[in-house]
Amino acid sequence: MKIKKNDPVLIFTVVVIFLFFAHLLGLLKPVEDSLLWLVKPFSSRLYNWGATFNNSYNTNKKNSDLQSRVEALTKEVALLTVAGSECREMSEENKKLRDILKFSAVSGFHNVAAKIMAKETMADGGNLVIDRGRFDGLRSGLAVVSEEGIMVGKIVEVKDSSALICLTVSPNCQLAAMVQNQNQNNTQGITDGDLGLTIKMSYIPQLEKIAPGDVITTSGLGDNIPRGLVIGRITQVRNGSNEVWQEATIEPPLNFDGLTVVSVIIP
Amino acid sequence: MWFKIGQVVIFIALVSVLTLGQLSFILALPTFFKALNLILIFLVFALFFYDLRTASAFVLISGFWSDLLSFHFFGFYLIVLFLTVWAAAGILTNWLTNRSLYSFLLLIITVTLIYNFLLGILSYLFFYDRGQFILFQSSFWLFLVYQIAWSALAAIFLFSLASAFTKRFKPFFLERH
Repeated sequence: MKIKKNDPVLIFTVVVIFLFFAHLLGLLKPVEDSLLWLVKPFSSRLYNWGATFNNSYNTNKKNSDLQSRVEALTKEVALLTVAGSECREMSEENKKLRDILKFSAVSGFHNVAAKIMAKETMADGGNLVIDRGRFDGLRSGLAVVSEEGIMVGKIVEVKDSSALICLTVSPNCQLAAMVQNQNQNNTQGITDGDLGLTIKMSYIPQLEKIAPGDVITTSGLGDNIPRGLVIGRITQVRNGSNEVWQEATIEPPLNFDGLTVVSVIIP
Repeated sequence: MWFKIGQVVIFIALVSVLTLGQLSFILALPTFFKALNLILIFLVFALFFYDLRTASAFVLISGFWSDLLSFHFFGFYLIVLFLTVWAAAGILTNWLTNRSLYSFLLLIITVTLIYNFLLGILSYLFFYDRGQFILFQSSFWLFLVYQIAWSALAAIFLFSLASAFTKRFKPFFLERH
């Protein structure tokens, strides 16, 4: 086979192989870091514009008056859900503390605020890229919450100055969760994203009583995600008599498309 | 010499802004709008109206930025985009012999299909998120239909625009007197 001297296929193949090995050997690191540092503000601003357009597009789709009322109420419900969950957690914690007559200081969490820079498309629901990374103390598995304190997702990969978040509605974004209801028995289960739209909670024992409207929070199992962060509310329960486990559909209290700033919780 | 350097700098800047715009702005839009893939559209434009060298340079810059911002392994987007552009160049050279709107439309739709299949299959093989196989997900097909619709619209617009500035794409007939 005759190789042409200025064949673009050959030239660019060589360049790509060179870039690949230069990246592997870390030769490109200073260039990559500088470029990332340079484009971070620009990317965050662009994402902000996109998210603002997204929000206004969603708002304009319905009657503007009704929409604004619904939005205000949704926000209020989100805040109340968080407040209610925190209250229940605190009351339960108080009871336990009283029981053992010993009070210990509740450890405060360290929060790192981050701007969203970009979105990965292929996965349902999309994964978000934030402008904070390993240098800011982030690591895989940490919880990411919205400004209102609602659980947005968790960190799945970290680079030096950026990190990838899987949203709670994305498939394979699993979280240890529990149900908060009147029964106070803190039913445990696992949540997982469902088609990028809702969340499903599985492995709930058949004997546990759960109902639409119950609040789902993180259970705190594992080291990285604290207990009591609101994931959403149950909208539907599926409990076939011949099944071992029950399943619940959960609706998150937030529209993740409009997010521009998030907070990473470092325990 | 300086003119050539200026051209290269402007080209790099334009492709970089386009890529960042795609990754940060377009992907934050609602579902129908985020199917618009400016990188693919302008890649086919570069290949169709210029040559494989320009299109490959486009891929190099755009793929580099995509890899820098993405969490796939480094080189993932470079490989996917290069395979796409080389497949498109093969189709353009061997099957589409003229430079008509129909050729442009066919090429842009084929490229959209090749790119999405490659991206989906390689993502499934290499990325951590191993859910249901991408080709069995209804959202993948819906997104693909939206993307083809955007690509076709962009093809018609860009071809009309290019035709207004150059006579290269207008049909001509030899008349016998």
